Parts: sequence; structure tokens; C-alpha cells
Amino acid sequence: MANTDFKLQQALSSNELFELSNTLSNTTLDSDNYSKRLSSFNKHQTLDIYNDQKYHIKNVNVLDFIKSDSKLTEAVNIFEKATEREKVGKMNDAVRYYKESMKLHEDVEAVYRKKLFYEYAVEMHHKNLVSSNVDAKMTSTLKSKNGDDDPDKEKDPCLLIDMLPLTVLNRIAVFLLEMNQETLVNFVSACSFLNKNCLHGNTMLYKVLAEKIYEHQFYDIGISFKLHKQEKEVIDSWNIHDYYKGDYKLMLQKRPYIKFQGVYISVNNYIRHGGIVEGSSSLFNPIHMVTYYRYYRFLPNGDCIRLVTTDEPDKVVKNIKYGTKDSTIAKWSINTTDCNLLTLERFDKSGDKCVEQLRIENHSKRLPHNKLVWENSFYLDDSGEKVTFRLKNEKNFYFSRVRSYTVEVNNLM
Amino acid sequence: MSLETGNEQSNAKIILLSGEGIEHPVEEELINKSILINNLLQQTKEAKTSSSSTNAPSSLIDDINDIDDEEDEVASNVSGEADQENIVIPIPNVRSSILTKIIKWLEHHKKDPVISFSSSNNTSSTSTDDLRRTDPLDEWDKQFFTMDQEMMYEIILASNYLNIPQLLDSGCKMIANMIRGKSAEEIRQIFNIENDFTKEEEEAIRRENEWAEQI
Repeated sequence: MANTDFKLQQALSSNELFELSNTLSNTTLDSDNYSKRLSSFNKHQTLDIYNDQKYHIKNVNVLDFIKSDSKLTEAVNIFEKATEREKVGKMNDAVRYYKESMKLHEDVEAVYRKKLFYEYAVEMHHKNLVSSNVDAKMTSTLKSKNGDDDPDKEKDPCLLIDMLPLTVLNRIAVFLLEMNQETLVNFVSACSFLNKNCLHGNTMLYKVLAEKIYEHQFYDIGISFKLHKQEKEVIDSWNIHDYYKGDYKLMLQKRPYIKFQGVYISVNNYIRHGGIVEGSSSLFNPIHMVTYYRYYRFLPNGDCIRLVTTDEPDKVVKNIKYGTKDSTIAKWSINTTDCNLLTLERFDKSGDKCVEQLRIENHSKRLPHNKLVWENSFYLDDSGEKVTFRLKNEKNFYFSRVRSYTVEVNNLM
Repeated sequence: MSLETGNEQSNAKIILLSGEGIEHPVEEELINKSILINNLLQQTKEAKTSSSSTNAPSSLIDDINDIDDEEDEVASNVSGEADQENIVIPIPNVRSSILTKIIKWLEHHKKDPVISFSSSNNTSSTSTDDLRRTDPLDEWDKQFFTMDQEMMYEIILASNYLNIPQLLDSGCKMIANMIRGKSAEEIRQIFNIENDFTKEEEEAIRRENEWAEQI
């Protein structure tokens, strides 16, 4: 018996179930929501989910299945009581109720699970309906079933799209890009027309974006050979006109660039063996797993603020600026012949030149130029001899957008 | 050809004829902010001066300034009236109330620095474009555009047609301000945009457009 109890508890503590029941009970406690939920449950038969086989037992919806069997109804009620007790930590009570309900119906747990998932699905559906208020299909089916609304009543037209020509809408998209990119993405995500035309088909937007991005990149033709502004302009013009044949969108996808509206982070771990604390009875030396982060924040003036710390990103990223404690400044540039090769140069405290080279790569097909992969890292000592660092344990950098940088970056541009 | 040139008739009144046929007198200096009308007036003047000497250059200039049909149509009207003291320009697709608003805007922005643009070159230079794009919307314009959406769109449409870049940009910025910081759902509500995505499609679009947030 003890064994089954243990199994039962294990099954119940599975995170998924617990979170679900918590979400449900939290909303249940809120009296306003409760009455709304009740009314939504009364109508649950009208929903598509009601007919979903996922929530069926023996081809009947789980709630109807419970209703049809009085023994099962009682078992589920007791089971619910048990979960309530378990949640508040009254394990003895909980186990007693679990036993009781299992005695009434041995499949109660499986039924209860299904009921919980179904209730959650209905709840989510209801929530979406309330918050969005636009699920047109759903509302119309509800309305037509209730019969209290005029089905012929037309929705108000969208004057913005109906009246304004595409050139003007595209111009608005460009202004949105100037404000911040998140707003632009929200705007084009509003409907398929805007997504298709104002983002994907908006050549003006890609041109503005490409000009904004590539204008502030720095290039070199080798270590310590940075290009001057005029030389850079020649490279830029060659790229767009000769290499990418005026296709700004393609250029943005293929030609690597450094991003300023966020920070590149590399998360590294190493294991440190500790010593036994005096007086401890342990037979083994403790092992410490140390996590440290490398933060590279690039600026459109050619500087890169480097920071290595064990502090986690949520504490650090907002505060990475000139003069941040323990930070160092390097000059960055991208190679002109090997367009993925990024070089960072700086002088350390002893005056030696340190060089770090990384490759700008795509994080995935969807997120171009979001990854920096270590290529090499070395310094040149007094005699000009090259001393190389081992990079075996160094991890890749990934770009993270930091919204608070927007204003600062715009000021530097 | 810049805006400052051709001011010999600075006192001349231009009469804009609205869609309803109502006359709106306006100073040439003001309406010169409309590139469409400015071009028309320049053409008329050139046609006048050239016709007094010889006809050949006139046709040449007409060929060079080959503009779209609507403008040609209006241009013929202008040249018909050009001999009279006031020049009447019919603007059939703009309502009277909208014209009044636009003239009010022009009057307020009378003293704004003139952005010189070449009339023969339709693609305005990037630097001027950048300047306008990054300028914040001024307070007066914010007040000016405090009106219902339909009227705002009509003004934007008219400024697009009359080619008044500063007014067009102000209108676009006003709409951009309404969108700023809003979620996709809020944007749909503000503009009555019907969400034609399924939940899955919306999620897919989000993922597909994620790159644009990571720039």
C-alpha cells in the first residue's frame, strides 16, 4: 500500500499537472473570475474543444463522462479535495483522500488529469476571447447560437488600409523603424496585408535599414589596418551596386554586420576543485561549478566595451557603458576580404597589444549575424612575439536585444 | 530648380478649387510648399515667357518635365487661366474642409526653413530624407492632427497628391506616434484591423519576423 501511495504522489507532483491545477485554483479564488468561468463553462458545449477527441473518454467528453457515473463523480470530488490539501502541505489528509477516491474508482487519476486539461483548455479559450475580443469566428458562432445579435451587422472597415496608398503605409513603417523595431514588428503583425506589403515587400524600409546599419560599420584590410571613411564608402557602394545588385534585403541577410541595439553574451563554465573544510566529515573534495559571462557591447563609434564577470545578464546588461567597473575598451572592425572576420584590438595595462578575432555567423537561418564564434586570441609582447591563448573552453557569443540602449545608440549615430 | 526662384509674382493669389467647386484663395508663397503646384506654376511661367519669344523651347521643356497624367490635366487648366490675374487650380479630389485645414497648416509653417529639392529629380537626396525622418513631431502639428481618423487620412492623402512632403511626414509621424509602444492586438483595435491570422499563423509570423527585432 505504501508503495502505491508513493507512486501516486510522484505522479501528482509532476510539474505539468501541478502548474495546471495551480493556475486553475488561482483563478477560481478570484470571485469575479469564478462567476465568469462558470458562465463560460455552461457554454463549453458550444466550443470546438468540446468535440476534440483529446478530451474524450470512451467517445464522450470528459465532463459528461464524469457526470454519467455517480461513483466517479464522487471519486473525482474527493480527489480534488486531496489535491487541495496537498497544495497547502497537509500530506496526511491528502493521502487519506487519495486512498479514498482510488477505492471508489481506480482510474480516477487519469480521469482527473483529462478533466484538468480540458478545463484549462476552456479557460484559455475564454481568456483569449476576453482579451482579444477579435476571434471573429468564435464570436460569430457564439452569437449565432445565442441568436441575440444581428449576424448581418458588418464590422467597421479599416480606414487606415482602405484609404491610404501603400507608399504612405510604407512610409509609416519607416517612421516606426526609427522609433523602435519592436513597434514596427507589432504593426506588421496586425494582419497579413501589412505583413506582406509593409515589411516583406517594403523596399524603402530595407534601404533605410541597410543604410542605417552599414553606415556605422568599421572595416579593416588586416590587423591594425583600418579603412578610412572614404575607403569604406567605396566598399559600401561596391557591395550594394556590384555585389548585391541593389537588393538591400539580400544584403542584410548575407553581409555580416555588428549590432548596436543589444549585447553579445558568452556563457562559460568551468569546474574548480575545492578543499575539504576543516572539521568536515566528508570524504570527498567539494567541486564548484563556476559560471562566468563575457559581455561585448559594440558601439557605432568603433568602440567595444568588454566585460568579464560572474554576474548574471539581468543584473549587468543595463549597466554596460563607458567606465563600468572592470570593463575594457577595444576597437572593432570587420575584414573586407573575409567579411565574417571580426577583429577587436586593445592595449592591456602593460601596453601589450591584445587581438581577439571572431567570426560573425548566423544563429539560425531566421536570425542572421547573431552569433560570434571564437577564431583566435593573442597578444604581442614587447619583443613583438605572438603569445596565443587557448580557446578550448570559450563558448560562442549570442546577441541579445537590450531596449534601453536605443536612445544612447541613436545619440552616438 | 529650387523653391526660392521664380518669385516675381509673389503677391499673386492662387485660387484652389475644391472638389465641391468652392474657391480657396491662397498666396503663391504658401502653396509653393506643394511640389505639384510649384511645378505647375513654374511650367506656366516658362510657357508664357517662351511663347512670347519662340515656341520651340516650350515644347522641349514640356518633354523634359514629363509628369503624370493628372498633373497634365491640371496643367492645361492652369494655362487656360494663366492670362487672368488670379490663377485657378482645380483640385477635384480634395474636399473643401480638407483644403481649409491644409491652408491653415501652410500658414502656420510659413516661416519654416525651405528644404530645397530639385523638381526634375524625384528621388530626394538621402540627407534631406534623413533629416525629416528623425525630426520629432512638433507640438502644434500634434494639436493640428487631433481629429477623427478619417479626416486625418484625407489630409495625408491630399498632401500625398499635392506633394507637400513636410505635411505628409507630419501625418505619417502622427500615425506612427499612435502606434508607438502598442501591441499587435492594441494596434488592431485602434485602426479596426481585422486579424486574419490563425493562432498558429500568428506564432509563425512572430518567429519569421524575429530578425527585425534583433537588429
